[in-house]
Amino acid sequence: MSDAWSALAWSFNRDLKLAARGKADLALVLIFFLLVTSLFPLGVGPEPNTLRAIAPGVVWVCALLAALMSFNRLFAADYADGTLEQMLVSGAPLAALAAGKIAAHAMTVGVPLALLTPLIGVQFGMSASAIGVAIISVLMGTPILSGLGAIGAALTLGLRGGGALLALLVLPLTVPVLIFGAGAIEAAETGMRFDAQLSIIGAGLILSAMACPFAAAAALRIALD
Amino acid sequence: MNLFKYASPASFYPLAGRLRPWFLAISAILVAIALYEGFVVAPTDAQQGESYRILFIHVATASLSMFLYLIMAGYCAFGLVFNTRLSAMMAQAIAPTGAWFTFIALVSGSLWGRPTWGTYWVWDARITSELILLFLYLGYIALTQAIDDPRRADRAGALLALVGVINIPIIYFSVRWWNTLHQGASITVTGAPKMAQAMLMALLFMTTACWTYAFAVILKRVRCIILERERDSAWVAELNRQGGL
Amino acid sequence: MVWWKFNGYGFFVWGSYLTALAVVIIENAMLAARHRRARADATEREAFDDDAGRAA
Repeated sequence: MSDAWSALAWSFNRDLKLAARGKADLALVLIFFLLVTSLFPLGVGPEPNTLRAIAPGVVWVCALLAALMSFNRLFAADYADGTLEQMLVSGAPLAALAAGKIAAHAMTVGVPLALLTPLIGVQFGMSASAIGVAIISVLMGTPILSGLGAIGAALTLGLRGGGALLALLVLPLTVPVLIFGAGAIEAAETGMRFDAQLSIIGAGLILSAMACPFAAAAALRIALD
Repeated sequence: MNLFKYASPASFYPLAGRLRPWFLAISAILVAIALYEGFVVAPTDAQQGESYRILFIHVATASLSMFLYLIMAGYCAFGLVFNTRLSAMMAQAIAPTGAWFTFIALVSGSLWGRPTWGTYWVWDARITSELILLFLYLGYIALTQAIDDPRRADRAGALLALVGVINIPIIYFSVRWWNTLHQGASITVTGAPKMAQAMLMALLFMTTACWTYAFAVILKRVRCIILERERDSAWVAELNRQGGL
Repeated sequence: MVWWKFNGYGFFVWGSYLTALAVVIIENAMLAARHRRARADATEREAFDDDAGRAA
């Protein structure tokens, strides 16, 4: 058992270090997030009531798309230089290694996205409580996205068709997270209770933390064998 | 009778070829009966006039689209566990037919919605879930087509299908929740008419007709897949010499 | 002949069933072509093997 935890810790720390070295990639994801959210007022019109109404959905859809941009990088670099093969052969629990990567991805992509949501909130005229719930829901929801993205990235390892194929595979699976994430923010905006939505996201978080690493590991074995 | 005799592509290929015409014939007969029951015998509905007759094809294809995905996932699981090639081939044979049925369900549902609710598209729980089901089918097809190595394609597709099948109830539940929340724009789908005897008969016959048609098409497609993969093997050459390809 | 107008719902009823018919036709046409191609590939390869066999 300690073998699994140390593998997880190793993989987590390694990916954090790699992310720290590749800060430009993260910056691009965040800029993309801000850019796409800005497109909505341009497309829909600057009417404050309209913007406030669509804000929860816009925040979540754009967070989803921004995260989607970064899923490829979960395994691509390690696949390219052979590290992934080494991980497979090493005898360390592959699910633990995958879990470490997913956790690192959630920290390096999910947390910054969550921290940017207040900016979007202000742009769209969201109330303070709604912004607070937005941060929490994105914080809780993006690890689920990371898990699902890991499965998709592992399945499409090295394939042509790249990003679009990954999007087609992963996006339908993220619909529940989107629905409850945006639903929580909307509930907060209209002054209603949002704990039900957040609880469901929490349950999803636990479920995906337990299941996604194993599914991703299975997908990696299929891709590398 | 040893059922596992037909678990090899070599013996399943001719069997599928023999079965297919029967399924096609039965399907044609059932469609004829269904259309007769549905259009000649069944009366005009008090509330929905003649438009309810769309439901025969809509409900049949919608339920088939969902069950075919389950069967596809079943074959995927079987193939992963027992490592049988034919299971994976069957799964890949089912997917396009399932996607077509989902498409017909969405189109017929949309055309039924227009006279019933005044609009071609309604974001109600079932239609939205059906749309997502279409994306799940397309994703499976896209993934299996994108991978050149057949073994990797089989197993990757199988994993994707199983992840999808686990997610379907979650997706359906969340979409239903989302829909009831936004009750303002919605219309209850349970506005389907009370079924008279003839209407039920038509629905049953149409559903069974769709099943037998689906079998026929899937058998044909799996024959194509078998030939494409096994074209270099001895049994294909032998069968060709006998003229049975 | 008024029955085929379906009391004004003709477009929707015909649309649904004709779409289904169109899918049936398209699906089977595509499959027939695919089978033809698969059979051609299989037999052509077999002929190729014969030549290789004789040459060897």
